[in-house]
Amino acid sequence: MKKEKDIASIYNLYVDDLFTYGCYLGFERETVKDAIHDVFVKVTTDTGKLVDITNMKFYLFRSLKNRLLDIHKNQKEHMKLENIDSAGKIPFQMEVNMEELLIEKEEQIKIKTEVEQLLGSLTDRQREIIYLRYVQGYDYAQIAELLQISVHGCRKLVSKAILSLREKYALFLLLLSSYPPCFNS
Amino acid sequence: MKTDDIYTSYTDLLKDRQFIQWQLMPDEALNDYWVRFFKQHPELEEELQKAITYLRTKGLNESPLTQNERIALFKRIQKSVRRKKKVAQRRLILYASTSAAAIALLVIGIMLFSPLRESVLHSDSDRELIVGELLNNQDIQFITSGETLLFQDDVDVTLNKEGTAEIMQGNRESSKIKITQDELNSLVVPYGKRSTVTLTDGSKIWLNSGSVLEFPARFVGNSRGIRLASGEMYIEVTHDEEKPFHVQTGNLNIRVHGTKFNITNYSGSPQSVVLVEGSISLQMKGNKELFIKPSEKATYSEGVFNTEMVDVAQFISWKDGYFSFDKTPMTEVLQQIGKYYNLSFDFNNDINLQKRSCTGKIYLSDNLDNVMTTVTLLTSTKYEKQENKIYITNDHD
Repeated sequence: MKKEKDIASIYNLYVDDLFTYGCYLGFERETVKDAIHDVFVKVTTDTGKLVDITNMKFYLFRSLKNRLLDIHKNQKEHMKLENIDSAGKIPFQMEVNMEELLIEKEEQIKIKTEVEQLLGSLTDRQREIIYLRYVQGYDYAQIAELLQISVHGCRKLVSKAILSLREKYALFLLLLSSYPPCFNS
Repeated sequence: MKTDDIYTSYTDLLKDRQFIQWQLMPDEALNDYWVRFFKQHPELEEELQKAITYLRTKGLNESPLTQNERIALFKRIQKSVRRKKKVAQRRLILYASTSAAAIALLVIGIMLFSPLRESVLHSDSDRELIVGELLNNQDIQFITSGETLLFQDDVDVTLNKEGTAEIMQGNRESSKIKITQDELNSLVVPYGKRSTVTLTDGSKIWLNSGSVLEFPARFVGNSRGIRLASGEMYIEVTHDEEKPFHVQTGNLNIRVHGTKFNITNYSGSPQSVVLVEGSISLQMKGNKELFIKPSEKATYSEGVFNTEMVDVAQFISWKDGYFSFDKTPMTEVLQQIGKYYNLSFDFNNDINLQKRSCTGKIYLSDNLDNVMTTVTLLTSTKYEKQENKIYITNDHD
């Protein structure tokens, strides 16, 4: 009954996710808005598009990413300067927000710092995969398409990420495997 | 490492770095550990879900887009689409032989507001304001044998021959209650809510917002009868030659012979009945019987019935979750939206906007913003929500 077929509903459903994704990719707010504008105009005016697309959200994510990559290619000045690394690669930084948890301010900051450290020990692409998989719920095939890499490459990036975290927190895992936790109950 | 009795709430889980690591980058060891942990602590299941939900929404995915930016961006998109559409139409004139399909491209679920008369559009703009106020939400009441049960979400009530009522709330909870045989039961559906009732004979009733329906636990004797005390309902009556079906509303009595129709009886507007299928007759107390045909709408006002042929879909689409309008005045459009979402609109400050009319469909999503965005976008109006008020004004570009 709740059809996703009219543009206002589609917009309201997905614009926040799209905007967040664009910002995480390091683009200026206005640039992200322009790209979202272009994507929606295209999907609305292309004959039959609204009716044909089965996975609307993924279609929009892919269109937005492509549009942003085009913009990135053409006008590097739209990027925040500090976000362009030497190789001109696109960054991926997540905003961590713990301010709405009903706990002490200090604890909020502590969690935020820990999550940021955890994410900080990964590469941009690894962070992007985590975001797409965990937050947006995409599967590896879809993620690979968004990142324009192979599914195999995508899985490899994930296992590398796990490995680097394992090294970093090796002590904990050692404890885990040699002393299985005992429970009070 | 933490001992497990530390975790009582989802915030405790989020405080644990290993938990976060398991969520974001699970490996085998972490997975074994936490799966085992939650198996041994089923009481934490809800907190686990809360923690995951927090991370996936607020925690790592909070949109920095403000409400104003969101509306402004949509208007920009809409404008560009309209401009493109104009270009497409011009092209169509140039290549007159091309098929008409080309212009059909963007009118899916779109509403078009057009002024009823051109002249009303120009004139003082400071009188173009309609204010809507969000009212407090009330619960649905199911009243049986002097007892009142309250429900926050829309309910589907099914009566059984054994004298019980099964009540489903929002598609998840289902509860069974005993109801009295000899007394009338009633369901009170406040503004902003909807419900359905299935009677023991299989007849099904859809109740719109702001309605009160009275019905027996079971039909006894050789006729069936219910009463719509106020509001609006759509009913599909199960055919039973031997037990005629009656619907009473106000002074109006409707006799049914297996049929589908819609009744409106809101205070402040005339009572009306729209017949979808079958045959019914209407009778006002002391007057003679009036038969109406399918697709006919009978309106009772100032002591007489007026009948007209109508597009039935417009009158019953509310039960399927959308409104359908055809040159409907804006006041009427907003009143219907107001009933559905429990808002009251004040037209006193406005002399121009309410004269517009509307054609098209609005899907009734759970999010009022979606609906208001649809309403305003194609009306060249804009709206702003402040606390519990909605301001609709003309959009001067």
